[in-house]
Amino acid sequence: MHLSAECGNNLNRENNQIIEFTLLFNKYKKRLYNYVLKMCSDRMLSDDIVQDVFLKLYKNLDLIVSRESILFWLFKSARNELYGLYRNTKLQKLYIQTEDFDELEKEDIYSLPDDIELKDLKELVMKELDKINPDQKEAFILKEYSGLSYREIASLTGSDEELVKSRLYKVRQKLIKRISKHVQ
Amino acid sequence: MDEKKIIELIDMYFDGELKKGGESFLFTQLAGSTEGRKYFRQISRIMSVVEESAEEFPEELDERILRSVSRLPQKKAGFFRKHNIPAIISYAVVLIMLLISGYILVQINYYRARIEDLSGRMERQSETIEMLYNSLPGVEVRAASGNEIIIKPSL
Repeated sequence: MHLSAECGNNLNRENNQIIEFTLLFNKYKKRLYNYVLKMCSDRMLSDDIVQDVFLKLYKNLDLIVSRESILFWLFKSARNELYGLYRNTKLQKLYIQTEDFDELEKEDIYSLPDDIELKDLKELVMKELDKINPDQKEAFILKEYSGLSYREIASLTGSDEELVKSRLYKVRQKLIKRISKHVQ
Repeated sequence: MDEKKIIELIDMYFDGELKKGGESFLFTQLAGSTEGRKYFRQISRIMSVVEESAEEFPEELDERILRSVSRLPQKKAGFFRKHNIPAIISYAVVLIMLLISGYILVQINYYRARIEDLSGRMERQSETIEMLYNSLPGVEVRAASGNEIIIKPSL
């Protein structure tokens, strides 16, 4: 009798956990996926990272006391995975491709027509983002694709809000210089 | 208002970080700033492209994750997850306090009985001493000389 009651409790607990996980998963999946994908620019790798992070979340769901901190937890875990991979040299291109924009400015690398299509513009944006300093790029992605606030970005990246603002401003300036002439 | 401040406000507007009332202030400022309006247009265009470039979450990944979660073995709840540790600690503390108070109560009763016994004995002893004093013969005090003291008035 006691055993069956305990089994019932465990089943209930598990069901509740799955429901709670599914709600959280649907709430944050797109934001997290875009962050990881734009940071590593590799679909397969980003799929694996996102899957790992969400499975980790499921395993640790009952250890995360505050539900408000789940967003932070998810992005922090994804960031750690990304930087762990970077350290293992798989993602060194993240930094290798990065060059100083001021240097790039000297070259006229784009001779795209002014009326390029939206698809090309998206690619152009991604190309430009790949060339931007990783810290600035990360702040921009977290803001534009993941919808985090200045405060959340600052605490995630270990910087302060003013620095986040300044990084976002710099990225926008670079994007304006590079692609605004193509945008109708 | 300088251009730098207007640009900062525009950035905050697009980031959704502008406080209440800030929007109307920004648009009032923009009305008088050509540079600000230009920056606003540029940022607006860039943002629309960036918004378009956001990816949808792939369905196969969605399925893959949810399937992996359902396939995960059911976690056996450990002692610490299964029980409410603060409640157990509180119960234990209460139990210990009860035991200590019981012990103190027993000790107090014991000392009270001893004190009552001692005070009873002391009372009996003082009664005995009084009785002994009373049983002794009476004492007569006599003066050693029979001289009378005459007091004369000094008029």
